[in-house]
Amino acid sequence: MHHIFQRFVDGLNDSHDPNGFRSTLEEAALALDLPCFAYARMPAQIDGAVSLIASYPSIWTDHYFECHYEALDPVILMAHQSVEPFVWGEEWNESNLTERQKAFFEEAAVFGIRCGFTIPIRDGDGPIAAVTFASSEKRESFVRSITMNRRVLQLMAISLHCHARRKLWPSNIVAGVQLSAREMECLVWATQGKSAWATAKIIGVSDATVRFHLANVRTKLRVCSLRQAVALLNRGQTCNS
Amino acid sequence: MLVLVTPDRYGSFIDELTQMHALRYRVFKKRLDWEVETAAGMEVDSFDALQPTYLLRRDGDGAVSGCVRLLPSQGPNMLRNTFPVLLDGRECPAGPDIWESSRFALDQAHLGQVAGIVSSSTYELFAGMVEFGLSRNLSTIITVTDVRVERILRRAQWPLARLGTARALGNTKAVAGSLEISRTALMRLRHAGNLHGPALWVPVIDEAA
Repeated sequence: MHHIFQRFVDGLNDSHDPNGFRSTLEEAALALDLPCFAYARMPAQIDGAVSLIASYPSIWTDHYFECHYEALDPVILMAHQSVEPFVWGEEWNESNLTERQKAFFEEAAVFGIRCGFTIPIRDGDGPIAAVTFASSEKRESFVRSITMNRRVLQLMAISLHCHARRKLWPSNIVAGVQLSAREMECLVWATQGKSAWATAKIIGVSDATVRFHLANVRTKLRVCSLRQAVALLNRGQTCNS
Repeated sequence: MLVLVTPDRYGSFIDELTQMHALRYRVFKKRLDWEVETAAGMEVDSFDALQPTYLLRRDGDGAVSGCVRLLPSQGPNMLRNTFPVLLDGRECPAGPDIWESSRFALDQAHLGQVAGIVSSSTYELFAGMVEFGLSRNLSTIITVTDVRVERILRRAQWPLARLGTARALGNTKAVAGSLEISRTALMRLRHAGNLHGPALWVPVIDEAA
């Protein structure tokens, strides 16, 4: 197993765009004998766009986004709520699924996706990404191999996240200073003229949380007012464009 | 005992690395309540994608109870890219003989029971950092830390030379500083910590296929 992991992190290290990541995921999925391995970046709002890098068959992912399955996909919805990793598929949560969700799982099965293991990734405010290992196996044997390889799968998941975070996410650098994703989000809404209260409503966190992030933005950028921070962001964007 | 985990050997230390991220979760998320990203009870940030070298403290039973992350100062690092505000407008020190340490963590049980007394695990990890530095011909380790760790460093006789003013960041009072790497510094730490030999052990071959 350590060779698979070493090849995987070496591959991540050499990956600099979504295609590089995809082939690294494909190679690892093959080595782990899993048909699918995926990284989903979750939007702050539950109805925002999910971006996906996956070793899934592209015919399935294209179909998935065309039908806007991300809005009803029970795995995405569960990853929004859950802090803990979870196993899904085959008798999972059946009674809670709507008819459309049941039909969605049946369609996924046609593409060889029957069950999976999903690791949600969160920051202080909520879900930001999820890593999924999916399988066409019977649930029972899949759970056995997940249990056996739990540590390495978790380490693969966070390694994947930190590389994706560094190379594929917007850089969040303002005036040479790295802001966190939430700090950047709050600052961007401030540039749109939104108050802390309005931003809190938009991104679904508390008023105090937005104020906390904006206070950190001011400290990190070494400015006294939010207006100055907004000016720094705007100046940077003019220079970059 | 401390082990040195370099990027080419991550695969040989899957268990230890998983435990390290879990330790960081317990310390930075649970105990200190920092704004960090977590998954499956582990903490990770984008600097972990820069192929850092880790020093890990392993107990007799194999449990990882301490860690520190090391990155060259000439590449991206926390002080230069995330917290330059702590430098009061000065340039971030950089050079082949300077590395940065971050995510220094020790399990609660290894912090020591008595206030004002530095635990032997803390001395061991500090000595390991100096030994690593000497083995790579470093002169300095720079770091972003908080005033709490700054006090511990002073008590351990390995004082932090401040690179800027301490500032409130999130819920902690953060400070940037540099630490001396020298034989003298190592001897002082060994003497103060009652350490009798090397703290850091390094694997010399890759595991067989």
